[in-house]
Amino acid sequence: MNLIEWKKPGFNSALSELDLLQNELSRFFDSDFMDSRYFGRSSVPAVDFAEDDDNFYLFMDIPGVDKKDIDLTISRNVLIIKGEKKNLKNVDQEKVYHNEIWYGTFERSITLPDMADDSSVKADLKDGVLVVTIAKKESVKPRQIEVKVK
Amino acid sequence: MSKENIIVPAGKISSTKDKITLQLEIPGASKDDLDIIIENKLLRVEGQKQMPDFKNGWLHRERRMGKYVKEYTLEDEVDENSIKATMDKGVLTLTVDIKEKAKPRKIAISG
Repeated sequence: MNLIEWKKPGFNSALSELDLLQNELSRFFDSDFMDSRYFGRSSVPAVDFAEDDDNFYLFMDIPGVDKKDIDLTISRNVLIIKGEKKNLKNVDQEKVYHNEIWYGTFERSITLPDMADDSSVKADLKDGVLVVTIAKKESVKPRQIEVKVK
Repeated sequence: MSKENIIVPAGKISSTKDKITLQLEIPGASKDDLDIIIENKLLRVEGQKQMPDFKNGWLHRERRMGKYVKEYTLEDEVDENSIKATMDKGVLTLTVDIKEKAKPRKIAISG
């Protein structure tokens, strides 16, 4: 442990004012206000979109988000994913030293291709990745056409 | 030859009086994809992010792909044999005990 040298009060008042300001700022940056969506770094999570013969697939990285905090809606071929990443406060008197993890609400809407069947949507959350599977309309799926040779 | 892409995951360090907790966001990696190595006071977490292979089926890509790598230096105050790791929803949580002698203690005033 380092011992801190005692300074006579008022001796260096300008510095102690700075100390006070620094403390106030530190408190502000540690507060819940900074956790809120106003300062969210990535309230629009990155997505990947892919297709195969039968389906379209959407992938979204949302680590730490609980299934119940995700809200998926689809209307007129627009898929809207809303959710909240909650900062779970520890029950113990926990001190945070360093935090790069973002908390808050997020939202992303994606216009699906015309050939997506918006009545057939499945969602799955695995290892912090949301996977939404949207079936292709029956009429656009590739079909095998038999060629008859006479 | 392609160079492997490294992703430095976002992390959080917090502590209570008994232990230090590290959290790392590694979406797409499961516990089988992870290596947690301690060597010479250096804690290294490596994990392969699993990406499905759609070949020509990708229509749009924004997510980062590659291998998660993050290193931390362990101070003398922590007991490196006590490290425990859990994975939940793409977040790796590591806890390590603070050694008894490094914990804050009260000193009684004598006399």
